[in-house]
Amino acid sequence: MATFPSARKSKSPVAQREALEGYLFILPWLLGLLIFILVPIIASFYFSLTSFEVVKPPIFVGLENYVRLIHDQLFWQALKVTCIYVVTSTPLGLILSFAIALLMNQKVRFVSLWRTIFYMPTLVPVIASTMLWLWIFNPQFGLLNTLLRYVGIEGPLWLGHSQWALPSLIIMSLWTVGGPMLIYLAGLQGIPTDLYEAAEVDGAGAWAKFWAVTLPMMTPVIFFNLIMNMIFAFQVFTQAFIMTQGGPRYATLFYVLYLYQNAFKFFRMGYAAALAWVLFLAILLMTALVFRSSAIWVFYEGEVRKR
Amino acid sequence: MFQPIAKRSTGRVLCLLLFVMVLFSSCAPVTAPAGQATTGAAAGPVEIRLASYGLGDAWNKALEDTLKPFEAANPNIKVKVEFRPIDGYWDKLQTEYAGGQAPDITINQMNWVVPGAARGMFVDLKPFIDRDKLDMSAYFYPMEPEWGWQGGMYGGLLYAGGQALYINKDLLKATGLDFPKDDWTWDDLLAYAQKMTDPATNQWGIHMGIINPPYWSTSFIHGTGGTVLNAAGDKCTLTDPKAQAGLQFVADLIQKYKVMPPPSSLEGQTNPFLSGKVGIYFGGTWEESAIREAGFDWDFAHMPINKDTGTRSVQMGSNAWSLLSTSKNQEQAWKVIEFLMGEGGQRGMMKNGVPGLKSVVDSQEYRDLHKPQNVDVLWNDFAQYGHDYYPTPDTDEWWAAVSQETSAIWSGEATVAEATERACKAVDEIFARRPAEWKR
Repeated sequence: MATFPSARKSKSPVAQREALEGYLFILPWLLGLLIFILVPIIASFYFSLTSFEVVKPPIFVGLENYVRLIHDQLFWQALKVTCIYVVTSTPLGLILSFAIALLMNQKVRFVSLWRTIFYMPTLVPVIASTMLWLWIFNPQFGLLNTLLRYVGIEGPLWLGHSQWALPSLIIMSLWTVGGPMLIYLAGLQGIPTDLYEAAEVDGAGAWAKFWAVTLPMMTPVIFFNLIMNMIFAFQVFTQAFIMTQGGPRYATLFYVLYLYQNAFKFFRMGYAAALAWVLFLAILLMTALVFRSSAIWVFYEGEVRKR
Repeated sequence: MFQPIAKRSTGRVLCLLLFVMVLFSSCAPVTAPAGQATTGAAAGPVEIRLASYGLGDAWNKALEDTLKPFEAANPNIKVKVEFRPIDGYWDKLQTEYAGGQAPDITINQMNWVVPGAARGMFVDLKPFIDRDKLDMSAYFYPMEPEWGWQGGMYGGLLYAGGQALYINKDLLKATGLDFPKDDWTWDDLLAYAQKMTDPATNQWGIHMGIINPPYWSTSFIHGTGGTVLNAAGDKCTLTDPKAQAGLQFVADLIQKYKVMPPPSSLEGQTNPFLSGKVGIYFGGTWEESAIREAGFDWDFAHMPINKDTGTRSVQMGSNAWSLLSTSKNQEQAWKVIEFLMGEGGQRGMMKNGVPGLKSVVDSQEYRDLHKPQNVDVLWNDFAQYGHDYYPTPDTDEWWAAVSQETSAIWSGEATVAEATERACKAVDEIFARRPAEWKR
């Protein structure tokens, strides 16, 4: 078989210039990546091996911070709170956003208006929506307890009670289901209608069509939303920072909040860096597991499904 | 010789990692020795960067106006005021300091001074104070308990601040009550609160802005003879029955007598006293200007006395000006702080807070500015019954631990005994990790 002469040795001047131009074009991005992302990532790993109070030079301590994590009860509490949040808010959000997307995919009047209404909360800045939810959860004047009082129920203290604080934040997380809903909607509208027609010819009813056509065809979108929502859930911070400061009784001590407190309130940047690396590895592991599982449950139209 | 690509890449990555680690290990933050009062390096006019969080246009203007006479009298010093958002102020200051970009002077909250001082962030002002023979007895506000650390002084007074007791006089009148007498007791407080509470109209006798120790419930802990920490600041004392009795009184206000709502009812509100439906409000001195705009008649009251112990206590805690140890113009920066602590600075800011100088706080001009309210109550209580916030180098950490546990008292999830037991266990664990050099 004929081969081209070694491309490495015989690049034409034009090709070389084009390559140079190409590199120059990506240089700003490359520099940004190096300076603002790669270097801080590597630096954070180095800091995780130090005792670093931010305002004093770091002192190398080896793996001491990582060993300390094992004995730190608040680390385990933060991990527990975050994991509960991830395994509850993520599936709840996925199911609710999928259900809304299915509704929004129907031919109903003012559907564009409904879609806008459901999507709108995602446009509200987190700080603003957090303040709004503080009011909603206010046990005395809040919307939630006022509604409950109408039906004769005296609502709980919500954020003020250690048993209700985390569920409150999980409920609040459903406020932004409009984002994944929009992605689901795009996916639903991309399902070829001939599949439904074929199913109807086979005598499939609404439920069978959903189960045999819609759901399998949507699995790549569900997979994408699952990965994204899971990562966001692991990194949740602002809500607890503003609303509860991790309380009461550490009931909402999210991992990133604990990390922040260590870095900037308790002068333990080295320990916080170790926390960050553990979180990174945890997210990496969970993402890898979900990716691995995708071979079983995600169906790509262009592929022959492996069995 | 041929090398597998993966192996070569791994080697390169490791080299890069090592290089960056070596690079960072040599990037030590610029840190001057703590307490070393260097003299100004610059000759001629110098610019002093003074950083503060902005507290509204009026406050910001008052600070700038206050500094004008100083600049006129000191043409060699130009003060550049940098207003920043209050959120994240402390975080930013730390990173600026680490990067050698910190201002010369910073505003400080009470929980930042000693933690920063213990880590060498701030310059000890005592050598300057001694050298310039600053008359510290001219201040009614004791600065040493708030901003002193290991014999040094790391803050210059901005205000004399802390806890204030606000009374809604319109509600008093509507309930047929007279203004509390100067020597009113906890029993009187409860009786007043019971008369002013009306669940039907969501009207409460008492409200506390910030409740957890070392905030406003602490004045009750002190009232029963208890403390939060021991005198050395290295042991939690909340499990002492005396301290527990004070906390129990506050818990009873919420759960037994129902004259005060649980703190969670504050969610979403900046200050419930402004609604006009709270009779007695334990708040901060910094809330005065907002309350002044509330549109009802109110006044300051003395803190009530515990009749069993005869003790009256009020929590102090205020803003300070601190000199950053990275400043290259420490002499000039000190002059600015000295001015702000002095007659000019205290008079300039007296509309916005409680001045710490006796001569200013005892002046008719100051009283007139705060009329019709009786501001003498505030500073007299501070001067006679004030207690500090137990500042330590790990203040924020143990405060957070105490706050997490005591919050369970107010929600009714834990008894005072249970919560204080857990709080003290957590606090003492934090203290056990302290380095040896942190002895006071």
